[in-house]
Amino acid sequence: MRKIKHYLAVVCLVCLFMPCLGVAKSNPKRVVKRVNVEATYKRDFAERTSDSIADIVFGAKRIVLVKDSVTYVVPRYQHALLMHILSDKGNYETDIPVFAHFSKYATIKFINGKKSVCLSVDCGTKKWLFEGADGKELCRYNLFSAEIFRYLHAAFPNDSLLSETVKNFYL
Amino acid sequence: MKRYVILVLVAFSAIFAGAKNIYWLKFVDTDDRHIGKMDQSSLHAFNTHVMNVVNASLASDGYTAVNKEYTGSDTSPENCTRTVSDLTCSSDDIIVFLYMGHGGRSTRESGEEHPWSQMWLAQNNPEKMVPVEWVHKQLKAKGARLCLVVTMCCNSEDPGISPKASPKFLTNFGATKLASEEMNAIRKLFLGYKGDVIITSSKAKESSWGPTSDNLDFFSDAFIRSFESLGNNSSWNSFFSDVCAKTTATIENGVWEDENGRIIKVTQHPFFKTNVVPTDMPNDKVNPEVPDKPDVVEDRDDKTNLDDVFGELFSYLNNKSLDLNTRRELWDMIKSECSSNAIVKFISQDGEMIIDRKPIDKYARRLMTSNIILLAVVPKGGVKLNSEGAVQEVYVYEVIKSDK
Repeated sequence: MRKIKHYLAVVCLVCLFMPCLGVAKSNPKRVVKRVNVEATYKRDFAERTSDSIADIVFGAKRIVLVKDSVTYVVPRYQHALLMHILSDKGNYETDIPVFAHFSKYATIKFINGKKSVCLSVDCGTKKWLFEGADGKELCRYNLFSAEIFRYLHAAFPNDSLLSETVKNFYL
Repeated sequence: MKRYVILVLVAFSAIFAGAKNIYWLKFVDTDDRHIGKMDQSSLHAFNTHVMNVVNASLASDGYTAVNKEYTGSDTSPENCTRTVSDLTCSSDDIIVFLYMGHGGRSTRESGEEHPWSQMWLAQNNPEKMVPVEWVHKQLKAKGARLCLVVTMCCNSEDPGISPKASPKFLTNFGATKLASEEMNAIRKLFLGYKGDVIITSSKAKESSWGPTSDNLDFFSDAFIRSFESLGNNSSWNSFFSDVCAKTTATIENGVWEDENGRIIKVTQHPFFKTNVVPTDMPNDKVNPEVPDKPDVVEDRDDKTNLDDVFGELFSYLNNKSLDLNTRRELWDMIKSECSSNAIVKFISQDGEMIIDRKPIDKYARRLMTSNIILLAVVPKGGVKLNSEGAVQEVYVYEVIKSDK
């Protein structure tokens, strides 16, 4: 009898902790899921430009900024930041006819193996354009947010035109 | 053909020797792959809605139009500097300079001291750009009665340099009609002031925009609309203020879409300066004196094509201040060079629609006697010859007096 009582007590105890054990069992490791924003960025970017440009830009192993004779290698941890800036759909809306030549003020070169794409910005007309490795224009758009100028200004903080462009962009 | 071309040129150079001139110096980048089509539309609208109307209004005051239009590959810094430098004029002449194309400014120049842009003039070398300020100073120094400089280009900085779909232009598919009130307002503006005026499509550090490539740019659209609403009290200041207000309002209040239906959001503020003093209007209509002997043909090297010859022939036939018999005689001489069934085709103010046609002889006689034809302009390539080299067709834009 005593044995039975002891057995029942054990069963009761097990039943009491069962829910806890059950949850722990069905969710053995509490892993935070990775949100793949880069894929979304790439998709948005490819929609507005093209898959081939997106493959090079988002798969770039090396990114360099070129302004005048200064070349600045973008550290790897900043690649994601650039991708974030580049994926803004608002900056691929229009290419409004403007009565000025496109003047390349700074260029961002995306290098992926033997392939490369250059993105140049113009402070005057506030446009950007993509060029292939052969220098052929692929597409150009009006910029409606100052983010790329802010980034370039951070890279070249002493540049007065970039500083003025950032300051007056939304005026 | 050469025979009567020389004849007409000699006759005209003599007839117009004492005339006052209104010089139209136009440089338009019509070949650019981004804005060329828009420039073509804007130039066409400027010619039919502004130039022809001004010429018609001032013709009765003895003004003869000298049209120097450079488009396509003829638009170049060399042609611009040469034309501006070589221009000579008298104190009663009027100079109008128009530029439509790419522009920009140096980052090293102050916008306050140098508010005007530099013109690319259909080329890519920043060193060859021509400053609007230089053109303005050069033309001002010519001593003309009035000097007007209009530039439709960007004024944005370039370190390399030392809602509807589009603005709907009021399309007129008839001939250009000009009421007395409108004519007086134009006369007051061009003859009632002495000095120089300059307007550019965007202020320093700003760009100039257009909606779709085959329409007018925002500034030209506003310029022409303001010009067409000139009243008796209009002055250069009020006219240009209206152009500025219309350009800004059109861009800001409208919902503009590009060719792909995407919304356009831009800003643009035209900028102008006037330096004019009111002056007495000429009351008497000037009759150009015909000298006894025709002078040597001078400065007519660029007038060797038939369009110009017929343009001048028509304005001569239409000049009521000259003796009717002399005009008849000239026409009788030239008539023999036209084919027996030669016709004149009338082109609408906008577009290239043919709105009417008439046998050339009938038209010439109508020109000589009609009081309502203010101007007959033959466009470039407007004279067609038949296989025997005789004139077969002449295209004409007419400005007709229309009083309500």
